[in-house]
Amino acid sequence: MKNIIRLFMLSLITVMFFMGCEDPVKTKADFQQNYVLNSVIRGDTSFQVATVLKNYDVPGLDPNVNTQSQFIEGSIIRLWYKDTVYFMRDSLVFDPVVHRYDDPYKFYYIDGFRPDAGSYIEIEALLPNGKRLSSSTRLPERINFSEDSDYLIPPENRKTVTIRWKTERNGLMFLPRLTLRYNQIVGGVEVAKTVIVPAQFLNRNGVTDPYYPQASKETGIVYEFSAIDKVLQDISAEDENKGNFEIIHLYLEIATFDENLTSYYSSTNNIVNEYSIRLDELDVTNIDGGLGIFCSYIKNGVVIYFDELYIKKYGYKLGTN
Amino acid sequence: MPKYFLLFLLLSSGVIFAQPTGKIRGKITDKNTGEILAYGNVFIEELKKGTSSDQNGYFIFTGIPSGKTYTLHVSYVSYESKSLKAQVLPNKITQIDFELEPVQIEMQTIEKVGEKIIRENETDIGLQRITVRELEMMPKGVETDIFRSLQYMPGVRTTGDVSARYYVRGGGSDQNLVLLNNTTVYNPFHALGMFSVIDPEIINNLEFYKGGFTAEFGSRLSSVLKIITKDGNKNSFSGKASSSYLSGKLLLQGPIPGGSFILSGRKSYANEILKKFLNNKRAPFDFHDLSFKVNYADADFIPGAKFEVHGFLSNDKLLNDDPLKEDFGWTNNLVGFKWFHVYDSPLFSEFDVSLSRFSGEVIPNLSTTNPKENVVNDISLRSEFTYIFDSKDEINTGIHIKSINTKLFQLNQRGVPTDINNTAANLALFFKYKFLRYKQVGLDLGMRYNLAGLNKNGSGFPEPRISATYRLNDNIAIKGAWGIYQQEMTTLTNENEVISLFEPWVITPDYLSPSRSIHYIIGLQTRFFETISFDIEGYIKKTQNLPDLNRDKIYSTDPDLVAGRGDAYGWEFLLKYQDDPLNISAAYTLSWAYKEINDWVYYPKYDSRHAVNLSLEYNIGSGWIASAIWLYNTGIPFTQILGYYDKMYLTNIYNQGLGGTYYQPYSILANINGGRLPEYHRLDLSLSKKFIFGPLKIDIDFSILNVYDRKNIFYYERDTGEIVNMLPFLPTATVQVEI
Repeated sequence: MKNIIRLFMLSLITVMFFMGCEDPVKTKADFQQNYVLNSVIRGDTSFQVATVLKNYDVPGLDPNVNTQSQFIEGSIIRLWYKDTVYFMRDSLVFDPVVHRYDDPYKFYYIDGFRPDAGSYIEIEALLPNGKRLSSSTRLPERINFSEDSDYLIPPENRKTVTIRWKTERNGLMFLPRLTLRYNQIVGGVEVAKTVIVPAQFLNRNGVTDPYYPQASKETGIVYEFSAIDKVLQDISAEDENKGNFEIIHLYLEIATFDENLTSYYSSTNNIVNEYSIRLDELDVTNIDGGLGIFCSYIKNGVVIYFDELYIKKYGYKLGTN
Repeated sequence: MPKYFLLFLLLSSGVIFAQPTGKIRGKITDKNTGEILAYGNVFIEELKKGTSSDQNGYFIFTGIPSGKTYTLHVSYVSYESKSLKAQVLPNKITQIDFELEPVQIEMQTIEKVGEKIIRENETDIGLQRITVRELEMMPKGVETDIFRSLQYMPGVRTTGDVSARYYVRGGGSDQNLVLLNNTTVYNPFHALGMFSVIDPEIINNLEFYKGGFTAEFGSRLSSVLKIITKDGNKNSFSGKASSSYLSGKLLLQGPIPGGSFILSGRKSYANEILKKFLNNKRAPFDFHDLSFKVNYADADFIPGAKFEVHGFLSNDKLLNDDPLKEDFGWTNNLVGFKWFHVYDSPLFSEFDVSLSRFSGEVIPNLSTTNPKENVVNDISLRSEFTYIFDSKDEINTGIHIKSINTKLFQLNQRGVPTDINNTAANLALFFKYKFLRYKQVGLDLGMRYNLAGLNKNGSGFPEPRISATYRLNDNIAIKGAWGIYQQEMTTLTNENEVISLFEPWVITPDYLSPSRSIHYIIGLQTRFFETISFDIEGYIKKTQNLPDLNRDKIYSTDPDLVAGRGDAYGWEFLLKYQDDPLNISAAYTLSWAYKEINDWVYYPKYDSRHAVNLSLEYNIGSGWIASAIWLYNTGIPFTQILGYYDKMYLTNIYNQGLGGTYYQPYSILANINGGRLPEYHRLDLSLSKKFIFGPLKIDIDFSILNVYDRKNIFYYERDTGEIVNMLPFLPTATVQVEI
């Protein structure tokens, strides 16, 4: 019996010895050159930007070791809009915020190009090697704010401020931003100021942090009244003379994403969850002949007024809108 | 037609030309607890005939020449064998029950009487029966886990140490049916699939079909795991407490008038060990499960009847206590009633009614996690009859009715919602005839027929099944099975999500047909020596209408699923040496699995060409038992990287100019699953000691997982290139105390 056990253990150890040798794993398939076109057309500005990049490989598996910008210069980028062709120019800027390489951040741009809501735009990038990348987008229509919203502060329920809107297309994403506009007398001079109002303040581990709304497909946004209250208090935290403050109004902007930006934003900003592990993340693209995104968004806004008595509670004045 | 049927029955009964015969029926139970002992060997010495007890502990011999007294031997692993005399009267059933006494801790001898004769024509290809003792012998690891135990079998695959999810013969994990006391469990996992929800302490026995399962089982394509829980101690009250690194357990059982009860609960209390499974990531899991069963049998009430009420509740929570992080929760709630009846004739019947509910939810709070909600409500009625002829042949027929409601809300990666709320009923009839009258031949002919399907294309679909055995001689049997199988529910998950919270179930939408498989299985069983068996099984499984997640879903009106097909085939070899105090088994699997989705053929993530499982168990004596298991398989597929590009991310689109975006490296993937991870292997050791200390029975187990700290690769982190390994060297211990 002992012999059987010895034989088994010997076999086991022998097998383990051979199995202990590591085999090299081919983690990468053969590299193939790809090209990337990115451009987000903004309906609220006449300055539009695009980038054209190429893909790359690195030794090993950590792509962060790459220190070379992959921007492709010399491309011809054309935009077709309402029977007119527009050309983008190339430029560069030193901005470490948008660029992790040492060399300047390069981009293509066009000034004076502000498309209308609902309009159709095509783009084509002709690369120096003759490769073409193309795509199209339709700017979304502007939303219509609903009457059943809270346009006066304080709201009736004194808990939340709810603004709703309607849209012609379902399934698009919206990103709200609420701004408090006020004037402050600084050194005898009236200065116009703004502050972004969070949807609520969160208390996490004893620290109070503002929470700003995320892009979502909800056709409404709820702000906690206490958050507005706190922002109104905080603006004069360093100025005891409350009479220096003149509150104008709140301004709610809604950025409406087109369907391409909606898909792209969802895929890049929403995670499955913190614990699930997915090995094949979806790479959303609408670029024919390459990767990247050509998309658009448009903004419109609505004014939310303050009740004078409410503003006077803080010692502020209510300004004219 | 009726006269042919009558002739068929008369021929089947085998009584026309036979001498007067009688029957012997009995039940095998544990003498101390009254717990039924399934799969015990029963052998009639004078006739050299044998059989085994079924999952209810019953055995029956028919066609026994009457007017004589026979000696019946009963043997069971870890119990003292017992012999009793039984007199057989013409056309009567002689009832003879066996109460077996467990052997002393110091001498756990195994005696198997007439093993060759008992298994001579059994139509059991693809079937693995596991007793509680066999479960106990496996390395416990962090928790004893029945699903992890299945992974030691040839033909059963996993995609990593982290998950208890299993894949059988090239089928997806949602193609495995898990039945707990005949009730379907939909997501039987705790903690991201790391452990099964079913506490092994409550299990009496389990049957595991790797394919070719017979007509009484439906609704899944690949495998069936049928778990029967314990009845509880019928003789005295007892309690058992145990503790591991992860959870504490308490089990209470005892007699009630006319029956017994058992109640078991488990609660997690520490999460530190889970970091080993999650690449050192903290996961604040909190889970518990509760199981109970009450049985009642009183001859004065209804002779021959046994009633059971059983229930199972499990609850998992993952609460981050942070409004910027998501929370999770999922529950399984099962309750059922069973009426088992033994008639004066060799007829058994079972009637079940049960409710199984699964609900799972991802609550995003203020995080950017997508919400998810899934609910499954399954109400089932089941009625089955088994009649055993004097010829040993059996008829088994029944009706299964299910009413199922599934709700699912989730967003895909594009943010497009899936919102499904579907209710449907399934009515299935089955009929099965087992030819067992000839010693050399066993034939199980069955048909399952869906009168009404959950999916509108699933109605009127016949599922014929055949399982056959031909014994060439005392030592060699050839076995085979063929069958058609239909599945009308599916999980809506990305198969490349190697760790997922739960798999959301839906009824297969009507725009697809239910998935259907054909199994072809052939096997050879040899037993040239009483202590050595060697089995070979080969299989082919072809699947049509295989649902897969539609990765191109852009609009909410686009379908969530697309249909593909799957092929799997392979060979499994199993060598067993069993001679107390040593048990050795060696298994080798050679297999292939393919999927074809959208005209693209690829290997699914559970495809591995070669797998070797070696296990050794040695009864040292004095309550000491040592075991070792070594697992090896060639690498599983993964998707290689083609290169990288700097992907644009939008941080604040209100920021005019360039500041609202940033760029970060992103990998471009090659064709799905085109690469192979390195080979996987791991050695687990276990040493356990049972001893009695005063009134206490104590069981201590020490296990070491991955003894030589093999760095088995789980996956590559795409963004950083980090290699994430599976379980490292991990020593664990469990203590169990029984009063």
